[in-house]
Amino acid sequence: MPSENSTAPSTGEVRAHGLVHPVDLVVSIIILLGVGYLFYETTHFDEVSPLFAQNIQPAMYPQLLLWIIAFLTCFLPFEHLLLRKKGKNIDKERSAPVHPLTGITIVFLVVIVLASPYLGMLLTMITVCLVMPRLWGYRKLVPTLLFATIFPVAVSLLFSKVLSVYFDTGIFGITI
Amino acid sequence: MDAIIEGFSLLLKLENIILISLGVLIGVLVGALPGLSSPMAIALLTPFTIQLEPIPAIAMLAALYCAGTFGGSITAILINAPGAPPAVATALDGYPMAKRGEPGRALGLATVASVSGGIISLIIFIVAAPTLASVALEFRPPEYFALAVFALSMLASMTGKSSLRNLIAGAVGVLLATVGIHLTTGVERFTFDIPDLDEGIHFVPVLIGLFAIGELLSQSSTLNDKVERIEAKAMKLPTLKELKELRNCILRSSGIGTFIGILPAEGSTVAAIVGYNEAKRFSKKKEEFGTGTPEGIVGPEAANNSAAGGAMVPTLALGIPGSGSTALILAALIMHGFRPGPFLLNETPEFLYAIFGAMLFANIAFLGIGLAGAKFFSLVTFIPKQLLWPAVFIFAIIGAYSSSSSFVDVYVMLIAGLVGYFMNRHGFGAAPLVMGLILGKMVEEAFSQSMIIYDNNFWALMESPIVLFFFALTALNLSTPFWTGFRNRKAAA
Repeated sequence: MPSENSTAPSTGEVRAHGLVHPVDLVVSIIILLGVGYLFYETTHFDEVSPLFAQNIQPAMYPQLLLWIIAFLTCFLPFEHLLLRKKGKNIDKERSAPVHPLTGITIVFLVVIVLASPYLGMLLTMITVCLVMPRLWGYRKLVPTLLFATIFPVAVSLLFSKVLSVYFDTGIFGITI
Repeated sequence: MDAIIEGFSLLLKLENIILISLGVLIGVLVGALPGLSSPMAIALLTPFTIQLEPIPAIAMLAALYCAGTFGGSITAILINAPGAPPAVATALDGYPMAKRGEPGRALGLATVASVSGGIISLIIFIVAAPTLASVALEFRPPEYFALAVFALSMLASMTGKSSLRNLIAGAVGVLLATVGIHLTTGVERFTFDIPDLDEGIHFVPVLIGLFAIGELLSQSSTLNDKVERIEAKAMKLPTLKELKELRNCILRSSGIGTFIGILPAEGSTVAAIVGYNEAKRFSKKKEEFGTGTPEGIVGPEAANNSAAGGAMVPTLALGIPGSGSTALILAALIMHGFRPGPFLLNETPEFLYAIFGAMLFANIAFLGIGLAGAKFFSLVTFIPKQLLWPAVFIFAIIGAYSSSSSFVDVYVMLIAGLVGYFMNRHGFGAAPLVMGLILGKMVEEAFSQSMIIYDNNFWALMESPIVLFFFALTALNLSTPFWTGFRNRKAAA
């Protein structure tokens, strides 16, 4: 396991940036944009009479929180200076770009979740058990098929019969 | 005393014992599987407990929590990869001992230390919780507001890469708690015209997304990592002579762990690291640390398990979670219609003692499970990730869906998972966000009520010595990084 202070670049060494950490600057900008948008949203909250609101309008508390988040975020691009002194490496996990398989997995998860109301729960489970191991490089066909058959059926039986959880059957109406 | 007996007797139903045993088994399994964690298992299991009575439901989750902390030590010892973060320090001496041919002894030491730490902390729990709750009865909304603010400030010192990122994540969690219809005015906030958001963001899908989907995505990039596995054929319990030698270390670490666990937002991981360091500091054989010394195993193990018990004290007595896992248990309590805090302990003490009993049972059950299943648990580490994680994803979908039979919750889970993955990549922890989400409503409600009590005069809050005490602690806590930095610079100059 690489140590925190490893010098190997691939593991994300404690790199010396300038005053501003470029990645954290981007992260800060994204957060601040989000904060700005949400703050704009709060300006559209309905106002109620001061008596009813006990002088605390519904927007006040979220706005206070957004100010706090924005205030803290302003320090983010400079935090690496403090962390570097402590020997902490904030770049360790993000030094490498997002793994291609992670990107593929994200796409798969989004597609399967969006398709699940149409597929129904049982077909969704079978699809996940068939496709995900293959996506992740598991090439043993028999264990995959057994897994994709036994596991979804067992889970369906457990939840629908024992725990009385109603499963959507989707457009194909397949259930156990 | 009557409440204790009544609480224990509530557990004596066969159904409850089976469920608690199931919680222990799932906890040890989940703890033993690298990547899976007890917060994730609690998040996944919570929606299914809605079918159960509150006592077995919460008892099962509490047992899972204790067992998950112990289970993490199995992989820490056998494959040098902590199954759960609290076992990180156990690997330092556990793995070297296993590598030199004594995996059974290392597992035995870890088990005995875990059981001892867990039981000691529960005894402290049984003494401390009623005392704390009776003090907390004096608490009114201003005191609760100050306590919640203090708990949120403790996120700065929570385990993670950066205090600043923990605080930002916590504040985002508090902000998420504002989604929905404002309780006092009935005004919609951040609902974006989506009716499902009127009631606010449901805890369960967010918790599942952050802990399960976020970790699933992280695991997808480590599929080719090779680890050396050591097979344990049987667990070997320490001899009486060995136990006598380790007695002080176990007691010290249990005390440290319980104390750290009680502190809001401090968790088992911090306790384990401090427990290890203190075991080393007091040891006569400091040079043997890192080479497989028994003290290096029992120190962190007693500390991390006692922290699990300790963290339940503020969770149940004050309604302030002591760690990420207890935040999830708190969410489960709320889901079952309870309002954790002093009233719970004063009005239904038997309920809390039943949970205490379940945790005690769980701690004793480790010993049996560890002795009987050492070989089995060393084998579960061989389950291919390519089959394990699709199974986790399925449980995540079902868990999110079944909490309110709505696909919107599944979408929320997925969004939370994606956000959780990128948050984790940039050093923002999921646990601070969850604690913010859970404490958020309490902070706003307590603040609003305080303002009503004090006629909108914020400074009048300071009239309460308890409020002043918690605000002083908050200021001290938030300023610690600055003054320690200043002191270090001065020392270096």
